[in-house]
Amino acid sequence: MATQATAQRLKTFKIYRWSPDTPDKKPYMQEYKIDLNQCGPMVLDAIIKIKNEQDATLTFRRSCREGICGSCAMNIGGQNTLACLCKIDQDTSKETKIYPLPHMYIVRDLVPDLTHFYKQYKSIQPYLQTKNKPADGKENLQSEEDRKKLDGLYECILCACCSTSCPSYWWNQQEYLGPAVLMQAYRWLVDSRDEATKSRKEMLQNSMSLYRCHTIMNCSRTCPKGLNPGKAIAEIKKQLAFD
Amino acid sequence: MSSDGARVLTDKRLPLSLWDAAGTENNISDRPPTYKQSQALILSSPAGLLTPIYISSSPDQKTKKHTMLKVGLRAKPSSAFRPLAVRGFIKTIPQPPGNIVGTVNDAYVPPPPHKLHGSLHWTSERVVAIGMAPLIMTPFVTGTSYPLVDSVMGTLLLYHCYVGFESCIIDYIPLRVYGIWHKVAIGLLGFGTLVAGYGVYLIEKTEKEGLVGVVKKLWKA
Repeated sequence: MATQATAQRLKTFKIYRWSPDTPDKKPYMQEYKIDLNQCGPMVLDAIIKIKNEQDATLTFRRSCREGICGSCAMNIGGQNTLACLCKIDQDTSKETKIYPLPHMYIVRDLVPDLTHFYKQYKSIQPYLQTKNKPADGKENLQSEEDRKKLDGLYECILCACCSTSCPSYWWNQQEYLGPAVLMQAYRWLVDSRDEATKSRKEMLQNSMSLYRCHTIMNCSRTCPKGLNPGKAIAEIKKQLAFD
Repeated sequence: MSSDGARVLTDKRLPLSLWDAAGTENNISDRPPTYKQSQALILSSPAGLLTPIYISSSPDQKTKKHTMLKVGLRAKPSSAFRPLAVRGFIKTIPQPPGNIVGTVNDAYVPPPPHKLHGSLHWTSERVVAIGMAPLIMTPFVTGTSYPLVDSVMGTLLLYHCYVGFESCIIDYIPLRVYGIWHKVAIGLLGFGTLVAGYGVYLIEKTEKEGLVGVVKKLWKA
């Protein structure tokens, strides 16, 4: 721990505020100052500190604080990321702005409504579907090479950072599935054990669900887990191309 | 479950799981409703009452559930009951709150599958775009003495432009929001493409050096 004697390093955070209790009041940016010498390194540490010490009404989702749950996805300094994986910019002359995920309905402050996002995830049927029981009656086996195809796909934590960074998802999220869900669709398309490939492909055979992707690639740029949804979507298009 | 014919995705689907194949009834709620079911479902669910419901005013509509009350992304609400969402003189179709169609536990329902709007569309788009690259380069090497190359290029360019603008229309004047205006835009684009197609034909017929010659003139003028 830093000694109490060190000087304060005050950093300004500007955080988006809106409460459903006061629907007449427009959303506004509230300013908080945090002493970086008394705060953990990550943005999540800072907003937890703000909630604990300055403003208990500040609302956000958080759970694991180590980038595995995807709860604290928000727009920090113009980039969608997980607050728990995002280091605080140590330059105290600059303020850090924190918004909820862009172009989503807001429940309160930094909490977006992800209901539709989850409904979309549900629609791709993210579970193994087989016609027959496995030979030994217990396990669906898979070769090591086939298993390797799932690397870079199964790690997705569905934080919605990529989908909400996609302009195409902003304009047409009612019908376009978005990068996160499409990457999971691909995860089940390439799974050698899954036998519902035909219906999985058929579901994407329309102008909206998949083909609203215009390879803008914000998804791959923003992914806090370093995954590549853009590539997964391209692979789906390749699979479908002469289908 | 469904009576909607071959267009409906769920009809052709494999058994959802081993349990399903074995005939155990425990995952009906896992089945995403079909496009029409998702609309009918809203009517039967109490939560659906919270979403806007449009009552069709035409008297000839019988007791068909999904035509009596329409909720859904592409349902057409009756203009008489539509809130005054007027943007300029273009009326937009109000969207369900939070984009949620049905209950929060129903899966998103994709538009009915149609390969001409899906993979075939995408593939032709790419094939044409790639095919145009050498055609654009050819006149630089061989000159303008091959009218066939020129007219093929003109045709592909036309299709390329059509597809590009069509994509813009789908993105920014979507059917679910603009309804008839989406179709008007697509129609206008089709009309414009036909006119332009006739123009390309005229150029190929009358101009000595074809389309490339017209472009060449830009440098001379």
